[in-house]
Amino acid sequence: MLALKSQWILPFGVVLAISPAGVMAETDDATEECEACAFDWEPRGYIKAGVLWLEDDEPEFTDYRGFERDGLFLNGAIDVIARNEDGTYWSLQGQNLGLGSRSASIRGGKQGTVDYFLDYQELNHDLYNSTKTVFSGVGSERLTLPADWARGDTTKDLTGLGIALREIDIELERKTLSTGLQFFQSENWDYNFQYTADERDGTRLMGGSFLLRSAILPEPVDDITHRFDLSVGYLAKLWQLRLAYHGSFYDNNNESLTWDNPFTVPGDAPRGRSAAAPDNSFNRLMLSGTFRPTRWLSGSGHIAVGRLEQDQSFIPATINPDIGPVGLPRQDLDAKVNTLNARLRLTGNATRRLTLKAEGFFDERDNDTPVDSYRQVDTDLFLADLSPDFS
Amino acid sequence: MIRISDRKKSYRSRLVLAGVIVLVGWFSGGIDGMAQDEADLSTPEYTAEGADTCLACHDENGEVPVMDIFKTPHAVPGDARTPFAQHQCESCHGPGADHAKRLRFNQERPPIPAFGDNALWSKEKQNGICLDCHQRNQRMHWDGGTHERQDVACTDCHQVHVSEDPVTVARREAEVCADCHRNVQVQSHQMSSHPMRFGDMACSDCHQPHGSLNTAMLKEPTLNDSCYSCHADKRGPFLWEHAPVPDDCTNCHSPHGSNHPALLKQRPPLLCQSCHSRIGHPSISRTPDNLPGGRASAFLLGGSCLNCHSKVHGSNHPSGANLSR
Repeated sequence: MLALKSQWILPFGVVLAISPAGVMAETDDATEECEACAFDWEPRGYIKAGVLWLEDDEPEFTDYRGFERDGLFLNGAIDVIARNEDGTYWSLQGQNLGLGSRSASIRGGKQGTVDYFLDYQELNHDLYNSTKTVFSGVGSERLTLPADWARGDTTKDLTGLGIALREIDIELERKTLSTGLQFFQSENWDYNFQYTADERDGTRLMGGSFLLRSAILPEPVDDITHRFDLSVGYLAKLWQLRLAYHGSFYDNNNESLTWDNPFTVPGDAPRGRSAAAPDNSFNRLMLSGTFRPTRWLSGSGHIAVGRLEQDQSFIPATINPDIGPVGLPRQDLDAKVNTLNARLRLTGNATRRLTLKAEGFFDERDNDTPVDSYRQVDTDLFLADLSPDFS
Repeated sequence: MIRISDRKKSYRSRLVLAGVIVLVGWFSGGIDGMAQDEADLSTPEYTAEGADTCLACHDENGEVPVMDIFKTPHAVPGDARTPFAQHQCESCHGPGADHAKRLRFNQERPPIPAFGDNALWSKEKQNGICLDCHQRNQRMHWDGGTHERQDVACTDCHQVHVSEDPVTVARREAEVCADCHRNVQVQSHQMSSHPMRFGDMACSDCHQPHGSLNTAMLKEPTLNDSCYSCHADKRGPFLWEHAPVPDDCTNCHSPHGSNHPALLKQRPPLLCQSCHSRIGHPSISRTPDNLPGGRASAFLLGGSCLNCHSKVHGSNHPSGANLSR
């Protein structure tokens, strides 16, 4: 029995001894003075400044490039970094500082101990700049027609259209600020914290309909998403684990969009109102890890439990004053969705050419939102029949 | 010592042990393969003076520029984890005494064990050098991941001897990925795309190139979670849901780019007609309805189906069951 045992312990031991970790670990008295090493402990980098001229701000060119208009622009960039012998460092970077696509970043810390960052980025999504609309109040939740507006059946019947049209730009601006901290404790523990605020502002196109007539409206966008990521990790010789929390909180400053009806339609609704995307939240806890008992066998996996919630108060079922009050079964949806994701992977390098891999996954989305019946008012025009039942 | 009364049990345990030995013998073929890496270096030796030896030849005038490594985090002796706090160049390149020794007449210089022309060590072992330090967090799922299975080496994407590794800089990352993922680069140039073309978004904003357990090597456990990071207005949950939306955003969208608006795979009405029939509601644009006679088909103008059914991602309006409010 003893002879049999030694036969498989021997290759095991040989591999561990000659693995790269072994090669690096066995010689830890090797910090020598290096005379030819060109270490650089001075701050270095560049600062750029310049002038740009844009002839024509066509969205096909300016989209995501940060030009909000044509004409002259002052622009600049900066990229400076300093490293010190003791491992401390800082850096300052900035790109396109004079344009709507500007970004800037500050980083610093001490290698192996703590790292922090602060990033800022702007993005301009230019969709159309030759759009025209008859509505006033673009960018707000209330779009109004001129006081002397004459309604018609279709677009060619709208006699006041030509005079009332005004140019607007359809564009979306996104500003993202993120900051974070990572620090290490001993050789095993690390802690991460990250926060991002993602703000959007602008307009996009949305169809607003009354039965068989529709106007393309400039929908206001004004929202912010807050994201939190916290994690703690433990690294051991043969395995590592990480426990991470992710929270995402969406906050819409717009509740709805109300617009005057430009058409004559059966039932004659004077205006319509649609609901904006509701505030919502998502919280998730995830445990992930990997296990590598030998060079030729490893396993990794994660399990994540999450919950989506939304309890934005309902707006009324209709804004049409000629339709009586329509009761709602509840004041808000009180929506809850539970998610469960799990993944497992096992990898074995049987020979140099043959690898065996086994993977399993589990994804579940359990919508636990209360179910009720809601009486429909079709595009603010008429109360739908009680059947079919929409619930 | 085996007692007579244990004969039955010992027979079974020997069978089990034989099975284990067969399995381990099979797997140890892999070990032998890796042990082959060491066969040529029976007694690995480091140079006496470390980097000073290497830099005697590999200096500013050398064929391959290496000096910029001194501007990087790898060359900070104050951080005990870094290569330059240990064996300096040989921490990564392997023991170099053989490579640096005085040559006899007509003798060819033996190559450095790792990361050079004709390197002795296998790709797996060279990757192992990087992973020994860089194994936390992002690299947790490297084993068995798509890049590892496709034999991608760390050095295929990363450069160490430059002051700024392009793939670690968000605005330059896509250039490196596009070396292999050309189709994605082409899509990023299409009419509607995420802002990857000028580096405002990096591939690693959504993907985890070091290996991930998730579909398409995404960072988040589900594809939709990746999208909701920035597009949380589509997350809901809504009172009236549109079934393909919480299922998978790529049911309708092509995230890397498209020649249709809003990164769609097809335009409405064709996109909608891939699921919805015209029963109860005319929806096919190419019929005699509303054509010659002066009135264009509403399904070819503006947003097509979305002219009326605008809340296509879901609606929280009490009367929004048909997604028009």
